[in-house]
Amino acid sequence: MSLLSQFSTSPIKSIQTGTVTINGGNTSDSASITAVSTSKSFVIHNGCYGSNTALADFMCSLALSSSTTVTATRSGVANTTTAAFTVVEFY
Amino acid sequence: MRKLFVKVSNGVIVSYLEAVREDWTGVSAPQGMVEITNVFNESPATLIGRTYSNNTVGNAPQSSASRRISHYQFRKRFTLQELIGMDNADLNQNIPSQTKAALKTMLKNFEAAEYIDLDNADVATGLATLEQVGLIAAGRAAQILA
Repeated sequence: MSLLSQFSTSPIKSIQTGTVTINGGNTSDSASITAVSTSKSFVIHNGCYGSNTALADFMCSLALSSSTTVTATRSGVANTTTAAFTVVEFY
Repeated sequence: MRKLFVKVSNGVIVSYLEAVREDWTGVSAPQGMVEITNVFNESPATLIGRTYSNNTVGNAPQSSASRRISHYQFRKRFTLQELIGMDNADLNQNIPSQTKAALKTMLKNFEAAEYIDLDNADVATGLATLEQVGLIAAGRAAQILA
């Protein structure tokens, strides 16, 4: 039995967790998710990891850029940085 | 119901998506990702860097921690002659002043690092620079990183 089906009255329709990596030389990159309603969903930023020492290269913001895409954006371009995310969608 | 998707590049998993939803009717896999239908009981985060073929996840890669060495261990990968040349690059009249300045900055980064990660691109770039200016012979960078 899934976590959600135990709570048939749950207002949550789906929960998706994953990672998005910005490759060296880029200021943004995207990760695919299963389709959600953007007007009923939000993204939780679960932190960044990587070996960058400069904050501009390491830190990034996350946005639900389309119904199937989470986009990470940073101000620097050196090396790669990876951010973990959770997308929560409501009914 | 939980589903696990992975993005595979050159046979290696580069990202994952774990999705839980009650009703999967009409829901497609994320673009560019494939679903792992075999039982996978480990944390999805451990998928990154592992091989993937025919719905089978390969063994975990060697920990990157083993490629992290101390400054001293890194210096021991150079010959004494190379170390003398690098430590006294300021006195080398064959190296242009602009290159000396770049080497000085690289050295400061080296000293500031908590450890030397042999997989870090900055390390490879630094060694390539040393090869270019002749402080180490051609081909030594690859040997030092091995």
